[in-house]
Amino acid sequence: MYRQASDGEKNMRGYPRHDPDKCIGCGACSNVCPTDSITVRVSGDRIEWIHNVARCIRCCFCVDHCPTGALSVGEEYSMIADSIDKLYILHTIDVEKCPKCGRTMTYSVNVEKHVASRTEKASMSCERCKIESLLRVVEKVRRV
Amino acid sequence: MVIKILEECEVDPQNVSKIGPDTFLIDLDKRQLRDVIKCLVLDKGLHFSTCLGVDYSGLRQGSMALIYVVTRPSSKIIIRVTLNENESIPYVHDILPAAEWCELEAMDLLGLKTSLPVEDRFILHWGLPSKVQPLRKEFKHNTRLSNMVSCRVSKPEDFVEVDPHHPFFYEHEDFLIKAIGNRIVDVLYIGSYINRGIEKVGESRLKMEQVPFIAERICGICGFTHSTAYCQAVESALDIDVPERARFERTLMLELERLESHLLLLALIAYSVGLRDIFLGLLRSREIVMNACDILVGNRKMYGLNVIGGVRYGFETRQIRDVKELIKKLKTSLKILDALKESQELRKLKDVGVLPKESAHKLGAVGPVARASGIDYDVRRDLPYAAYEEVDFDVPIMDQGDTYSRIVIRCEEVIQSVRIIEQVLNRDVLTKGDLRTEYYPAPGKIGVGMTEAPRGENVHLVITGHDSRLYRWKVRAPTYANLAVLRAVLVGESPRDAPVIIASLDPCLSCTDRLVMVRRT
Amino acid sequence: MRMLYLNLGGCNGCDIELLAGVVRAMEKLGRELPHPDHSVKSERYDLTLVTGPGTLGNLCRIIRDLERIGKEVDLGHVVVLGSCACGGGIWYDSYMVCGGWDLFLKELSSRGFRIRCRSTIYVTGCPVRPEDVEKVLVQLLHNYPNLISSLR
Ligand code: SF4
Ligand code: SF4
Repeated sequence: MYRQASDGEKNMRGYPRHDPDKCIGCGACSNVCPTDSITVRVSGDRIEWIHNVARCIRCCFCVDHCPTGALSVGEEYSMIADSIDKLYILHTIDVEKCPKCGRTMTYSVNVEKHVASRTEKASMSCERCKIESLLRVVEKVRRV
Repeated sequence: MVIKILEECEVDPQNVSKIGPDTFLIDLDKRQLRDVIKCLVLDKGLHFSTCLGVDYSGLRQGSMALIYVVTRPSSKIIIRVTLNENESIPYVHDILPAAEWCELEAMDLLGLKTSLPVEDRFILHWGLPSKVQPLRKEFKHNTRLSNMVSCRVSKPEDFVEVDPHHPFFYEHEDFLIKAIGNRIVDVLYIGSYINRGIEKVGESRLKMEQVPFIAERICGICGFTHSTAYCQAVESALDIDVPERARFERTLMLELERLESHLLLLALIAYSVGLRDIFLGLLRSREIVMNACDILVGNRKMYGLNVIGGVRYGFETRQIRDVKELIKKLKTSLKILDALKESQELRKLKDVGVLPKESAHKLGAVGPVARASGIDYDVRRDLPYAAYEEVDFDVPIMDQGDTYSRIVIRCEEVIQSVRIIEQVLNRDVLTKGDLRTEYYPAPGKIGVGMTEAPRGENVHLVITGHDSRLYRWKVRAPTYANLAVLRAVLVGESPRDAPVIIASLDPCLSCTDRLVMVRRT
Repeated sequence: MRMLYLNLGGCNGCDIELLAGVVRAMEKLGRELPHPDHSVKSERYDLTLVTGPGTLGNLCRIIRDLERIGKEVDLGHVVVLGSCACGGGIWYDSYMVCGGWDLFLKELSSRGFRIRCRSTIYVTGCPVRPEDVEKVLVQLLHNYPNLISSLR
């Protein structure tokens, strides 16, 4: 969980390093961050993962809670800039589309990598499609 | 034992409930409060820790409560008095001066009524209107107050400021002294510059599991002891057992922190009496300790190690090996402490700023300040927490109560800390075993956590709330208790000695000022 | 050279690391830095170091100082140290803090004070590391353009 440096290397708990290829955009990190310095939001057909390094206190509590290992304890501790706007890290990730209707969902495309079985994959659809299919079943049952 | 004492103080046993292995909760009637506190503290000699006001409207039906915490070796007694919204509060500070600040705090922050004449604001004295009552539940933690402050505090004319700190290391606080000729005749302390509203943020925005991080940031010198005390309070409220490995890790870090804190203070004292070489030497030894922390937790100061029920990371054999090396190095460089103790400059401080034992007890002094005045009380030994029961150490006591012994006692404590660290580092349990215990939050539970911070007894009281948040969190930092002795040690001394006398109390204002007061001390 | 050091109510962690960093910087520069003022006493400074989230108490203190010396002050190069001073840190939205140096300045300018800063450098970390303090101070006093080009 906590980065262990090899012999001779400095053992530093830097600000979290975020890997956009693993992030599913679940927002667990932004929920547990005591300083609310991570924002995860859907904007258009991208998911934005925004980190305000200026406010981050390097506690790495977010790393403990990331379900996919997208966050790891960084080896870089300090970020120095001459303007506060440069102290943000912004990663954008493509959002997953509903396999049925093509509308955007709240997860990123990386969620595919973490879904194991085909049945699980088949059950992945947006809320509206889920409700619609449920309604269809109800309708069928009623007719019978 | 406790029950017997309580009976002698005429507490109805029906009102006493045992809420933890060493914690008792007493529900008292308002009229009984004064007699019971008087009997417990003044007659039976128990130690008065703190008091607080609680707005209970979110947990029960709209009522307020005042809670007093009294401790004695081996048990903690919580006394609760429930009040109605408009009832005026009982008070005990006329018989027990140590209770003054916390009672005033309750009146100010909750807007409780009192029959005493109260100057308008004690704590939030920046011209804030009295309708601002931050600890009420309807007050939001992110209310913007900056347009309401009118900055009307001004310093009284005939007082002059003393500057007790190293010129490069300065928290703003006004220690004002009034001197006639070569004698200090009055002392005034204006605080609250560093009030950051920590308790309110911990009760509202943060969840219980996030609070250790803000607790750690109460103070940049002794932060870990705060997060440990907080975790212990929740652990005692929710009845959580901490695994052995976590207890030893906490002990190790707590002692490293004590070294950091004491070495810094001793360095600053050396600087202020003009021993520049010793100052630099002590700072260098302190760097060794900082490096040890860096190796263990990856940060020089904020360890981020504590969570409720245990710790977050385990240490590895490699880290322990490196730290052992550093401690060996530290031991040789600590020889410099002898030079400090023997120095002529320090010997001059004998019989300066004397605090007699009786006034130390009455004013509620804690930690090295109290121990230098002959009060034999150390939380590590008397109410053992973490793994202190399993290690060997002595508690140095001196009885002169002067500035010199307050400094020497810290030199002795440094040696004892190194001794504890060496014992802990030799335990195998540091590198294997469980790190933490799972727990389930429940609302309405009360717990008290106490640690011996570098500056003395540190008390955290929590009441858990719904939604895995805290309902009430109270921090009583050691400096809060120790500042009360300011007047006792300063009056009658020469103004030239004032900085070093204040420094020998080791005031840590960021701890104290999470909520503080303006008051003639 | 005049130096100002504003502790705006942090936890002391940054202040102690700053002390360590300044000692290192002095060794590296081979000269002593002047003793800083702790409150605004002059209208012109060359270097200002800031720590802490900007508590209301300290806001009042600075306002009191500024009223004494007039409404204008030139702070020179400003080095903002630590997560609290950069972005408010863990108490960024508490009722008793302004939430960082930028918002603190906004608070002052809304009261009619004119504060000029030649440049502002933000050093993050909780607490800041002495290495960073040393790097920034040495380069700031030695070779300012070099520092700016080495930043993010
Ligand atoms: S996958 Fe990890 S990094 Fe991405 S949003 Fe969730 S918790 Fe955050
Ligand atoms: S390290 Fe801590 S403060 Fe920084 S983003 Fe993660 S949880 Fe938030």
